[in-house]
Amino acid sequence: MKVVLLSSGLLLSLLGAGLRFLAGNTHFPKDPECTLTRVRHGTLRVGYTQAAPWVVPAGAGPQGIEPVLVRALARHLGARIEWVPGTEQHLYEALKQHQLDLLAAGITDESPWKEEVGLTRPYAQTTVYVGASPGTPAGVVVRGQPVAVAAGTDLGHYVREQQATPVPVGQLPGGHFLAAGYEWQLPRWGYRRLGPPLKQENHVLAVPPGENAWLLAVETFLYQQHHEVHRLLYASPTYPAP
Amino acid sequence: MTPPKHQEVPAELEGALARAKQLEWLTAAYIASVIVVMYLALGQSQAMKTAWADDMLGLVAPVSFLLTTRFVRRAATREFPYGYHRAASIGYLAGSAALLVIGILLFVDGGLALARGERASIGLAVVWGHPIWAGYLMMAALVWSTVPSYFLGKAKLPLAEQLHDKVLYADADTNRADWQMGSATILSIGVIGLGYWWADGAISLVLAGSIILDGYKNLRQAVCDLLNQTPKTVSRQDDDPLVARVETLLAGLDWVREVKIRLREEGHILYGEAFIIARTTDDILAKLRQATAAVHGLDWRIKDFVLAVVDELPD
Repeated sequence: MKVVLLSSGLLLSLLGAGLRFLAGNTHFPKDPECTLTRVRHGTLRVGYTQAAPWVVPAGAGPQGIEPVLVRALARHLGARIEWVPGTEQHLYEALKQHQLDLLAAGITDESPWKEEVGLTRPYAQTTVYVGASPGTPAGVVVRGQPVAVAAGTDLGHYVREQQATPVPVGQLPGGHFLAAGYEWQLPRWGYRRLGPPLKQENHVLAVPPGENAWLLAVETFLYQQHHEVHRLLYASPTYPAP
Repeated sequence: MTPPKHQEVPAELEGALARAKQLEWLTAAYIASVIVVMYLALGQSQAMKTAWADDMLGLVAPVSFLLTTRFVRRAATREFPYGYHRAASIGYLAGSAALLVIGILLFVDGGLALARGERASIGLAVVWGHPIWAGYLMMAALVWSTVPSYFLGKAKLPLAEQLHDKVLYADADTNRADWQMGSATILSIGVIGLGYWWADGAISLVLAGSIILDGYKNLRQAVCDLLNQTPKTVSRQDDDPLVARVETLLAGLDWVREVKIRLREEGHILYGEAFIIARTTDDILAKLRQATAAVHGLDWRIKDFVLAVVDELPD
């Protein structure tokens, strides 16, 4: 009994000392590969791939919500950006091996790579709803109706879950119609929301695995920008209608 | 012969049993809260995952205690003439087997994570609008999983001794030792924070190792109990002194020339028989009745003791 008390006392004082040390230490947590130290006033290597409106490749480097955020982050750290285009898989592999510092690809926290790399906390949450075009009679219900969905997306599945019929389209149909769209798209189309949310997406950026100081720095920056993200999303001109 | 009695513990221990049940309900509720808190703080850390699994395993003992204390009091029937005392042993066997298997799975999982060089990413958590490092949140969750557990264990240990309940004892012992697991995990989060990513996998291996050891120890004991090992003290270190006391009592009777006894544990209680070579069989029924009553009077745990007069002792 005495031994237990003694050793737990010792342990508690050790923990106390540890916490005091951590509290007084501004460089905590640390990166095993020193990413944050290297990027600050250095080069930020960012992999990107097409994912409008989050990332839109263009002549002078990528545009879109994530490149805007990344550029602001680089300014904040006094870093120069090296943009690396590629396919998502190649970029993830490079990120996992610490050959990139950041991945901007419009990914969500459902990414199958989430165990292999570090994902930030969601910096934006978007929700898909069924919308009704202007002039659609009041009191219309989603169930049993045809609903336009962007071809080649998973939205048809969620439309079917609401007992409606998905109609894959290349662009927004004219006339009276129901269509699935993100909450920030519907007002732009002049549509009004109808029924419960179909799907929610939590947008994240990815960093190399275990670089905790770097991850914390990126997340803290994104957290401070969350009002800006909201503004960018509603202002983004680039997303093609479904 | 005295018919078997069916209350599991004597009246003077009913209070202790009620208190033990209360504590086990409290433990179950507390562990449920720990599971939720730990889940919320979990993140990618392998050590955290292992500690979380260990917390869930902590439910096995209180639940099996609460379930089996209901069963063991049932009266013996024609189908189950020895009663249901062994329900406790079955609960104990199942619990310790689960502990061992999950320990091995966690060990393999942690070993693979370490071998593959998987690094835990621990980033930002926002608590009521304040951004902090999620590692601190994990540490706080671990403190909640550790400190109350220590005191629960300490409260349960003396009850386990009184009630001679091995499941309760194992549970109390685990709770009391929990602070080592918790502190090791807190330490590993701190070491990850210092940039040593391998600490995560390494400490998860240590934690899984201690779960395996725990499972093995308990499984062995459960199997020994089911194989009718001679009764042990509740902490399993020594032979139960009760065996020697029964032997001395019977050997000391003037009509007994030679005696050999066998005792086995069924949950809290002892069953057994004595083979006696008598100096004289005069008035043997009265002598046997007196001797049986004397043995039953030694301790509440001796429930059903049978005396047999023989002309040769069994091996």
